[in-house]
Amino acid sequence: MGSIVREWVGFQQFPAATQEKLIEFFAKLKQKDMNSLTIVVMGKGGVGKSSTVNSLIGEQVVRVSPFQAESLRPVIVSRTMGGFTINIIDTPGLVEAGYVNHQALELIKGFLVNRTIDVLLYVDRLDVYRVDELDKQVVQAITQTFGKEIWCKTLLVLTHAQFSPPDDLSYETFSFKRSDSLLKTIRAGSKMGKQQFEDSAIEVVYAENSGRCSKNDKEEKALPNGEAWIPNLVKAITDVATNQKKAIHVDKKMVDGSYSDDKGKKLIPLIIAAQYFVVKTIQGAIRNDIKISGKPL
Amino acid sequence: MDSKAAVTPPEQNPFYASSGQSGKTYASVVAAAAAASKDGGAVSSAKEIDSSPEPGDSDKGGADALSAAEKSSLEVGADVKASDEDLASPVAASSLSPESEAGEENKKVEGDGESKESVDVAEKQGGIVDEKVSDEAGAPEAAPEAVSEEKSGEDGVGITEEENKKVGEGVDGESRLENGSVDVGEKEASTDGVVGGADKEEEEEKSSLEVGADEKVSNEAASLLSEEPEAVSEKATGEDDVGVTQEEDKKVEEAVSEKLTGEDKLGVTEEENKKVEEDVDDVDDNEQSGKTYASVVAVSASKDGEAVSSEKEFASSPEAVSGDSDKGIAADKEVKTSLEVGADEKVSDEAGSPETASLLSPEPEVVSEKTTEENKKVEEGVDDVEVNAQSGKTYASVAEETVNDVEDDGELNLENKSVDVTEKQASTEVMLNENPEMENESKAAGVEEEAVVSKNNDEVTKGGETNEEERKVDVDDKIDDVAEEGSVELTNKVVDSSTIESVHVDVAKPGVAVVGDVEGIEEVKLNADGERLEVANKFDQLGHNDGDGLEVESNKSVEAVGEKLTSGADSIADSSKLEFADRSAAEAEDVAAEKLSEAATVEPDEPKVGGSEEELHVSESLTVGSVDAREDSEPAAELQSEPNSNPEAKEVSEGNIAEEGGDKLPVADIVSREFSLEGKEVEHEPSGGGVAVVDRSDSEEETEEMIFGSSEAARQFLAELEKASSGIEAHSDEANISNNMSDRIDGQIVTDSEEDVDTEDEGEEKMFDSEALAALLKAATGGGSSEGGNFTITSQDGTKLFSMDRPAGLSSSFKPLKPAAAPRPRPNIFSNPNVTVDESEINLSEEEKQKLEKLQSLRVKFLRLLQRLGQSAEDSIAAQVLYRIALLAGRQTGQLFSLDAAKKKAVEYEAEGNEELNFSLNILVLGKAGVGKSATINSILGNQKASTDAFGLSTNSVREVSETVGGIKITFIDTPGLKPAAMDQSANSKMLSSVKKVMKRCPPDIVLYVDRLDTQNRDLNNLPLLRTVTASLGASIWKNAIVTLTHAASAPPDGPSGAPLSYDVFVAQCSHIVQQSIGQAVGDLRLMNPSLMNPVSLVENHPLCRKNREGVKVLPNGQTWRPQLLLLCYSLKVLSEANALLKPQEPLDQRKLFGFRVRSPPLPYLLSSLLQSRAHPKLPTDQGGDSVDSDIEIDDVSDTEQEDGDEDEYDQLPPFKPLRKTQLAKLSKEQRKAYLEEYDYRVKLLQKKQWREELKRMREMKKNGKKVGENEFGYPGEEEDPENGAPAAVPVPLPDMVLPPSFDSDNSAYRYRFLEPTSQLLTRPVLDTHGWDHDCGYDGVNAEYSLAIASRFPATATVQTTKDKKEFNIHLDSSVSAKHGESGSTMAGFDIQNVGKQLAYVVRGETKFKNLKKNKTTLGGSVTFLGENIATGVKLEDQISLGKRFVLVGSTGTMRSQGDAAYGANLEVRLKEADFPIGQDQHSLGLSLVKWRGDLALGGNLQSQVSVGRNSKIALRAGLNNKMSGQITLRTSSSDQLQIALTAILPIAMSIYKMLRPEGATDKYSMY
Repeated sequence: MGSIVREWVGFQQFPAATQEKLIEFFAKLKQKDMNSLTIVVMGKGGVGKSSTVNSLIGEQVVRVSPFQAESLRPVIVSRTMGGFTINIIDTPGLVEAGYVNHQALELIKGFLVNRTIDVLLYVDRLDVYRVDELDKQVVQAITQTFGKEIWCKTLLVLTHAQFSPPDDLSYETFSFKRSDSLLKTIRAGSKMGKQQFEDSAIEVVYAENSGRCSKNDKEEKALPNGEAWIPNLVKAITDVATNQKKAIHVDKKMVDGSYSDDKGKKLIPLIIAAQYFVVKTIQGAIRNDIKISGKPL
Repeated sequence: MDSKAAVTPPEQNPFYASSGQSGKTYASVVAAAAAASKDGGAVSSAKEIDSSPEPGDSDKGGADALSAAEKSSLEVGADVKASDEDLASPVAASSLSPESEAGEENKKVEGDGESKESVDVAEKQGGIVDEKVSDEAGAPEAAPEAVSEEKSGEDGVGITEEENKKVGEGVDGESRLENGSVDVGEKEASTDGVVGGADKEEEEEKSSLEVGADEKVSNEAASLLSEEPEAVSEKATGEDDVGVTQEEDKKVEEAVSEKLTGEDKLGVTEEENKKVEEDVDDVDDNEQSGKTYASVVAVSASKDGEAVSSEKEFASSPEAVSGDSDKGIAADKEVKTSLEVGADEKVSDEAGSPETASLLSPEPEVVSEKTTEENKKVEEGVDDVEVNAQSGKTYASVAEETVNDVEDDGELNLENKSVDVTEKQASTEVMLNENPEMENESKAAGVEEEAVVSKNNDEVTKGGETNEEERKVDVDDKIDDVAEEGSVELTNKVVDSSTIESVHVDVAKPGVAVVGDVEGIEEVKLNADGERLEVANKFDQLGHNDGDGLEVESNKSVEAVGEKLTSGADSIADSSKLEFADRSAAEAEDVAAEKLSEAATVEPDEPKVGGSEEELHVSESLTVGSVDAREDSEPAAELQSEPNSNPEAKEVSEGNIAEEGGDKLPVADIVSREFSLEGKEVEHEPSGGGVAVVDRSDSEEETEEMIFGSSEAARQFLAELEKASSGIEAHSDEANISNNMSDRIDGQIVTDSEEDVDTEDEGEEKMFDSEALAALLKAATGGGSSEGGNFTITSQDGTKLFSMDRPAGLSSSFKPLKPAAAPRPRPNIFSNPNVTVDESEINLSEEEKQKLEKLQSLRVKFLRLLQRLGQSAEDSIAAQVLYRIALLAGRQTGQLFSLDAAKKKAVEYEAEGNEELNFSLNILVLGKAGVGKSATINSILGNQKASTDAFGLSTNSVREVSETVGGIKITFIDTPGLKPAAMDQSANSKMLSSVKKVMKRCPPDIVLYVDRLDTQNRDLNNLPLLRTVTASLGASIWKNAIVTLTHAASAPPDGPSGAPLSYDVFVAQCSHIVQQSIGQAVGDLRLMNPSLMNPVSLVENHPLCRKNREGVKVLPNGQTWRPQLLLLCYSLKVLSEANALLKPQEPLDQRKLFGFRVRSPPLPYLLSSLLQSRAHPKLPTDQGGDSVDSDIEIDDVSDTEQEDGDEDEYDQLPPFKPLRKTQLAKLSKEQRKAYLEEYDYRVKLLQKKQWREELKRMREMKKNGKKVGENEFGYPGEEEDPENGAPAAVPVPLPDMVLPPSFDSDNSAYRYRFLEPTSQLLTRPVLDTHGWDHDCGYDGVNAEYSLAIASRFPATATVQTTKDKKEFNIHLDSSVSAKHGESGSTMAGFDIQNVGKQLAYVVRGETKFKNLKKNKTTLGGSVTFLGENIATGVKLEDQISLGKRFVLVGSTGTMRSQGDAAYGANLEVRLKEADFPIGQDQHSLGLSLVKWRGDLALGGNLQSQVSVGRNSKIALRAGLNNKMSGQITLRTSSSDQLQIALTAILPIAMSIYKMLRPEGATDKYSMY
């Protein structure tokens, strides 16, 4: 949609170290003739999608509130810097009242018409222990909407990464287990074959959007393991954007044609015609009958 | 100023008069008489003096402000000696202070408390006072009257000062000011303390009141008290009365007069206490000018002087005084206060008091009325009280006791009115104790109410309760006012020396101070004891209590009150109840805490009277004085609404008193002076409601006086006294508390006095001894019980606060209070008390007793649990629980069941360690998977009993985990995680059903609903699972549920601004989200009512959770969550146990606990069904009855005869051959039309003919029937019920439907129809005639059966059941009727029907008379049992027929339940077609009116049925009510399909309607 492309002011907000790395990645993209990048952020409500967008842009571009779903419809944020444009599309949460919010999904799809999804960030929280049926349903819904291929262009972003794991688990173990269980869910939800899933090799990135995120010596927001996560994320994004898989282009067909019901539409006139003949035949038979019996109705 | 004041006193009277004319308000000042204690003489006196000066200053200030100073109503009785003076001054000060406090409120109070030295304190107080005064003055200035009052008050002060030295008495004048300023609406309450001792006659002049000689300080005090009230209103007159003793001018009046006389005597002779009452007359006078208030003073003189001790006591005694004055701003209004002081000397006195009490009681009622009405003008005197009631609200009653037995209470009620704006009234009751030899206490409870705009005053005044004690005052503040104004409440507490009593009174708080306007009324009770007055006893008791260390300190400041007020009257009521419940100071505290929690904040302030009391023992009487002081202070508080200050003041006063008392024992002199003071007070009243307690020591003139004037001083004293310390502090805002306190005080006092008499030391010892303690407890409990309170002790008025009727109980309640005292050397004294005690105990049924015992043991248990947890009873949760238990105990609490006793027991048990704590806890843990349920269990149990795993399903099945934690066996039911996805709910249900099985075996006391704090958002993801839980386990599962949020240590997320939220906000938000979800899932009102929310507790199971030094996990907000969670669990369980205990009696569920109102029956609904007219069943034909169910009038019958011609017409017509359908089809249009017309005509004629034949047959049957019937049944065939005919509303819901002439499979009526003509049982389908969204409106079955019982009483029974998609309804109607001759019939019926979710059982009866040919009257009544409620109703109906076509029916009725009433009236006009019933056209227009809870609903209803053409009918039904909601139903039935198009009219009509009324009835639904 007609979002205004602005100069990426927030970029300057990043620490120097981060800026350097980002520029490096963007240069890499440019080399591949990619002058723009479209990132879609999806996930359940309240996991930190909007916050992640804000972190990536370096500005408070999307309103965030702790308890309320602020983004009720997709929002696109476009920033340009040195001829390179980054578009990030923030979307509403995909779950409501125990159900996948298909309406939201439709909205997102409509919003994405004629756009190409270079990268999908599938966001969830790291500090939640369990994966449940709902997660699977969300994945299913996304798959249905955009096709399995979307997962090849997906990054799993785990927010709230700055926390200490329970049960004396080490951070690494915990995050591994957590991402593993999520990946399994994605696989189950998307009904990908094992091979296909391995091919897609969904990468996991950790994020911590809170203002309380600790910083490393270069003033970068860092995870408990000391890595600065924003460059990491951008790196992963570039990797995915430049991988061999085709970016997902959302066209009219994808938006309108995904209903299997439509397949039968053509048959409708045929059936009607058939009905006509059948009825005619039967009626004729009846009349014939009456004639034979000779009695008025 | 002081000087002026002093001077003024003499003049005051005149002034008063003048003031009365001009102003309305003012405060009366009371000088407290101090008992002169000798010892103390010096010291104490000095203090006193100091204090007094201060008061004086304050007064002056006030005076200045007042400008006019016309009245210094206050005069301090000069007492014989220095001590007296001192006392007086203190009193004045105190009185002033209270006012000032009221004005300034808290600040002042605080100040008081801080300063220890009496002098300083006094000064401070004085200062405060001044300020206040000035404040008041300011207001007053606005209102001339007010000014005058203030002046008076000041004067009084001045006097006191001057006199201080001289005065031995404390006079209190209290006055409350109110004022009502019209516009401004401010009020002032002034209380005056009456100075009890009038030392010097000189002064007496000025202050007409002087307390009787020292000896009988108490007497004086009493007189003072009485005077004040009057003074206020009449000021002049009042003062005069006060003067009684002195005789100056007072016009004390009757009731008062009696007391006065008594007082006078006392005063004069010092004989005893007298209480003066003032009256109405005064009031009247006042009315004109001012408004109201009462000042009470109590003085007590203690006798001996042990200086110190005595003094202290005195100080306590001061309590007595609290005066309130109300003022009406507008001259128009007049408030009268009738103050009654009961002075008693002896029995007689007591008797007097009761009377007063009774008087008071009326007042309360009045109050209530007023409240309802609001401001009225009051005038009146004693009578006034009543009058007052009308106008005002308040008054105070004072009680006094005599050592011997007598106690009187004077209560004054002040009322005020505010003219336009608001007014308030404060009434104070002051009680004085004198103790010289004995102690008297008087308590006054002041009630204030504010009519103010808001009106609602509750009546608080329950107070007057009487007997000796006093009443408590109830003050009702109006919440409204409060809320509106945000005023503070004044609670005043009067502290009695005994602290408690007086305190209570004030506390009663009734006085609420409304923000500016309100006045607090305090009642001061004075107990004047002659030397041997019962009062003394009370004091003693008080002392004991203190000694015991009741440390009643419980007093709490009432500050909270303000909030409470705001919160609402209800809250107030509650609080009051609570207070009552807690009688012990501790309880009071708790209560306060609770209150705080609830409504607002109660501030605990409470002076610690206790300490003073101990000392007091020695000088018991002194203690009394202190009490008074408290009272005074309270008034002030009332005025301004800060109770705290008051309490302090009180304390101070007490202290002073005590000291004084010590000095000079007998305060008779003082007393006398006090009386004189009273007179003054009256005048002064306006000024302030300082209460002075006068103590007089008989022996010496010196009596000390404690002046309460400065509460601060009192405090200081108290502080000094602290030794004893059991002060009574609890002043809870609520009156109840005050009451309790007072009760206690009384009890203590009594005991003390005895001992005191003997020896100081002994006294002290005794005080400490267990007996005393027990007595105290008893007293305390008694007070609690009395919540309602009229009584100090036992009354439970608290509860009743809201109820209007407390009056009656007052006297009785009184007695109970006293009883507390343990056996003492002086039999006389105790005799009463004991008796009362017995009574109170006897009053408890065995069953109740058991319950109480159980409750008490529960309380002990809870306290022990608290101890084990290391939590204090003051913790807000714990306090709430205790409060609620107290609430549950409610009225019946006895002294055995006080919180203090429980606490003590708990400590004992825990110390012994061998008492089994019979407590276990079953906890069901529910929650989503992975939120930490098992981890939470582990954390609580402190081990790893439940296995946890972050990723896997660690808990696969429901299992139980048991562990003993801190001696308590806790069993957890751990469950597998619930799944949030809506699709997974069946799995959840399955799991929950296994939970249910476990629950059967091990019923959970508590349910922990666990969720994570850090994953909350508003996407409602938990709704499906919450719904499943609710559906599987029932909504009641949430009743004892605690929302447990784990991961509580997580850092709050960033807010919208980017900055992290504060932790508290974060937690609050999350809690709210969860609570809301639960509310939504349960689908009840939780959403709306925060108090119903499930409590939330935070949990952090993470091993890295921060810990404090003890190694206990601490949350970021510093909370240690584990004990908190356990506490919450214990609390919930204890509460539910308590509720279960009382269930039969008071089925509280948690909601109720949380202030949910019991659902009252839908009175309007019941009313309308009552008003419905019903047909009386008739005997079936075959039994000789008149089977014709018609409403045909005899006229009709005759008509038919006359119309025989018509009849022939049909026969004469040429034969007519109906055409066949095919033939008809061949006709031309015109032919067809002609044919149809002819056809219709003939049909009509035929019908007519048939009808006539029917009538004829009927007539004949009647004739025969008469013959036969007279022989056989005596059942004339006359048609009794013409109205029963078709047009009347027959209870049968469905008229027999007209079936299509031939069978039509499309008409569903056939499906259900079964008519059995020969049987009396008629069964038919029920058609919902109003529904249109059903394809088929038949959703029920109706069966009707009629029979004759004993062959002569026709009966019918109808049962109808309907079941639609949502609900199943059953409706049974049965009725039997009997005829009385020709013109009467009686019907009795029994109905069962659904009302909401409950079944209502209705028993009804009615009788119909045909009193004129065209007129019928029906009288009926019904009793409805709905759930636990019983509603009774009465109706009157009249039906007149005008001509043949018109019927006019009017009915009116009322329905009552639980004090709630609905009134309704219906008027209906029916018009029917001339040839009805052949023509079916009929119209009826009805109007109905229902008034319920102040809401008036008007409804109009139109029904019209018209035939259109030959094949169609249109029925129109329209209703509209005054809420602009209505309904239009248009029904057409037609055999011409074309007309179906008419249905379109409906939407059209609707849209037109909407256009006409754009605001429409969208949101405004009537409550009916």
